[in-house]
Amino acid sequence: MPSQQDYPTQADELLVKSAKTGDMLAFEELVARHRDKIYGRAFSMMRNEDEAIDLSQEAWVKAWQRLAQFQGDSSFATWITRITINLCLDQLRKNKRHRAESIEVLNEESGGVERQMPVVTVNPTEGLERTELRQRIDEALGKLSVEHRTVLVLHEFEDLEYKEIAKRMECSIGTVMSRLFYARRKMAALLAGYKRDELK
Amino acid sequence: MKEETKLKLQAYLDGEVSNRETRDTVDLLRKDNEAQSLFAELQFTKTALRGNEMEMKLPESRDFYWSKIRREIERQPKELARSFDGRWWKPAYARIAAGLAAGCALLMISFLAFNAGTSPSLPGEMESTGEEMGAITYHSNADGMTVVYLVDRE
Repeated sequence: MPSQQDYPTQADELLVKSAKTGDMLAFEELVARHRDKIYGRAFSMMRNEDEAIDLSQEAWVKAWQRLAQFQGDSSFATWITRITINLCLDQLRKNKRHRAESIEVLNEESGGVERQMPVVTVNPTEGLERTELRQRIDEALGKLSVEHRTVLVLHEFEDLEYKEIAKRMECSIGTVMSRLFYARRKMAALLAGYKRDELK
Repeated sequence: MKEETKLKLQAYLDGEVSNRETRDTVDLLRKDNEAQSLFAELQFTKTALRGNEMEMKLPESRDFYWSKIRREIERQPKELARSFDGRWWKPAYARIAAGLAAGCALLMISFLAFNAGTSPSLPGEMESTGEEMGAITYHSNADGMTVVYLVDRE
């Protein structure tokens, strides 16, 4: 077993192996290594700092309890991210039960106002520095509905296929396609809006 | 443009269409300006998002964040032990204890009944032979009672 000083230089696989034997210091190193990414994923889905911290910590506890189930089919980072996503989706479902069914919610699949939006013909992200682009994308994501944002995060950031998203979001593939379509359209309009504001 | 056609355009962009649907979509994009514009919009949104997620920083120190996780991990087995103790162990323990008590009582009654009919000198009374602790039991059929005396031999 590696000594404590070795942990920062150890590969994830070795740390996981040690953690599986009950080595909590090795697990702590894994947490330290991936904590920003896991928190970031939780935040991108919840858009709430406190909830994101709590859910990311819950994900780490679950990961520790289920370490024996991790067979290394994917990377450890992917595995813990999937645990986080599932916890966030559970929490979003709980939150939704408490949320009133507004017209906005009912329009998630059918498009609502996005149906009438003109197509954005000029790429609004052209010429932007990467940091600025990321900032704008993040702001735009914050303005989307929970359903639209979730489907975008899972498809564009997590690279999940329609089928996999449908399974995780407990809806049909058709619903995923529709949500993704209108989420993209709204995103384009939001990004174009920033561009128009700049030109004023 | 039909809703279904719009979603097909998107599925084509995401590589989620069959070969036949691919041919149809390519054909549509060649002929239809509206389809071309919509496809371009979907494409730049997809391209803009890919690899451009905001990099977040956890707003807590490493030690503070970890301490809460560790506390929760360490708390879990105790919780399990408590639930084991509360939901399963206690009723089972009670059932075993009750069973043992009933068994002992039966043995005692049988023994006393047997002893009452066979002991010539002290009917209804017997003495255990333990080295440090002794027990004298007195049973009276007439009064219908049993008395057990514990005696310290040291």
